[in-house]
Amino acid sequence: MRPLVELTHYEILDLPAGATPFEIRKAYKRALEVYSEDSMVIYSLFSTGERKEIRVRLDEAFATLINEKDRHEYDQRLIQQGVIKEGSQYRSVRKKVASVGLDGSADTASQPEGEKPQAVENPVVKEILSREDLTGMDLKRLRMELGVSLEQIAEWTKIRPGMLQSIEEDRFYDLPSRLHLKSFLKAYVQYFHLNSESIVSRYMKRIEGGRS
Amino acid sequence: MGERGVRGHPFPRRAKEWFQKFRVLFTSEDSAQMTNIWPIGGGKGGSGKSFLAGNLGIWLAKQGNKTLLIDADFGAANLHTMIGIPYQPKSLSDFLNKKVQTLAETIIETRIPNLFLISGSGNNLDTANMPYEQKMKIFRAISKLSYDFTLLDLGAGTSFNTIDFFLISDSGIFVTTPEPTSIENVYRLIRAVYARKIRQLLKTYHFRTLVEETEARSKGAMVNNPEYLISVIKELEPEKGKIVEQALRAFQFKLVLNQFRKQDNPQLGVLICRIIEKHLGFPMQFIGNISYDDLVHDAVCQKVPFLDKYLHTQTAADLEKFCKHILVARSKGEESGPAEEALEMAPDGREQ
Repeated sequence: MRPLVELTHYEILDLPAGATPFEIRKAYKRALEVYSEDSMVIYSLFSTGERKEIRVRLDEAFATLINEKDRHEYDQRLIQQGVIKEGSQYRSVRKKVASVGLDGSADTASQPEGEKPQAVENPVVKEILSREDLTGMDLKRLRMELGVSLEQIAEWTKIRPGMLQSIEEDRFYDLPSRLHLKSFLKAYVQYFHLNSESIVSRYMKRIEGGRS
Repeated sequence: MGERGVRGHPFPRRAKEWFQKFRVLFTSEDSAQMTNIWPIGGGKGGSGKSFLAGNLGIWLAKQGNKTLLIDADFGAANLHTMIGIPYQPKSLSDFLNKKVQTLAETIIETRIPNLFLISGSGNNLDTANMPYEQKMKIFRAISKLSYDFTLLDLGAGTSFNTIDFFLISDSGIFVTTPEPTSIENVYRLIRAVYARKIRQLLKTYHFRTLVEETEARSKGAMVNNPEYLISVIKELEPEKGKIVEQALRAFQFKLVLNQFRKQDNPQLGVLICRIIEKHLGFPMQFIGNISYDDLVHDAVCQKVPFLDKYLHTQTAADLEKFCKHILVARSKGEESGPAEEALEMAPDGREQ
């Protein structure tokens, strides 16, 4: 048996070293279910004390891995110990962004680099942006055109992927209040360095019409 | 507490003898045939061990494999009924009572070509409590039989009989249903098998020392968590720890989830296997859910093989998938043989 303390944060969550934050959240949620009090999976396998210990370790693993800085330090330690290989660890897409945004300048300064010129010059993007009304599908096409995954946006905006999906699929009844929706959309669009205000208002116009 | 598990059992006193006898199983020329012995157990009664063993046997035989079914549920044998054979006077008892000379003489031909049975229906009432010597006699005899597949239908519970028959091979099939009672029992059986395997690998004296050490560190750990033993062994004697770990990793155990109803979590089996690998440290492969069907009850009542009568059901499709998996999975050889030898040859000085 491998005692709990021997399991790395990745092993206890059943994750590869390169797991994305999205996968970490999912794995943590799954692990909480598996090790819960009334879980059938581990029925009778652990004592109450052991289950408690496992949950403490799960929380610790999650807290470490979900925090970029802590995770980096932890990865370095594992690399030194030879547990994981250099290069197999996860590299955040928002590496250069980490330090900005605190002063409210996120709008202009904190986007991933290299996207701006592409986004504006891309003919498909141009075509999409020239429309009167914008649907969730348009946003999705725009995102796909620029080769960005929903996960990346979720990580960057801190909006959960399910919500972003609802926005892209125009599932009106799953959407939050207008105020929240607006700020979500703004964050979404800002990821691409596009003029957020006009895009948001074009999307909202249609929603408001459709909701009435 | 360490004493409790071995009370009334000749193993500690005759460790050397025991090892020599048991080693025959793993190191003789017969070891090639050992690789296709599949014990089928599960801890809880009524989980479908005999049903699966019977249908697997019939299916393998029909595919042209010479298959032997052994009813190793000595106290409550009914595998013969499962495959539609009435009460049989010939049974394992005859071999143990020396009524016949060889185990082969107790084998019954069934009406299905290629399928053979050692029935337990005529067992004496005390066969369930067979002494250790007799068990070893059966082991040796089984290892000398030559069949493409030998399936052992084990009884419920975690008695030494069941566990030792399980450990006759490095492969084995655990059967559980998606119910807490059944899962509890299968975990119990897995842990008992685990502890027994470690005991087989280490010398008695050594094993006791380890149990005491483990007990001293954490009360009740040995009884409930044999896996802690490994960490103690690894710490005290890294070499032996490695060997034991390797032997455990050589297990080719499979898990089947029987009586699966559509409201059950289809991921349950996969999750259980992952937990076993993670926390017990040996591989357990999930080979699928077998759907619940009332028709199974009908087939058992009519004493006909389920796969013959109800081919066009989900359960039959699941069963077939399960059978195919076993056919393909022929386990790859006994890695525990060399490991045991290595331990035997370890310098005794340290143990005294």
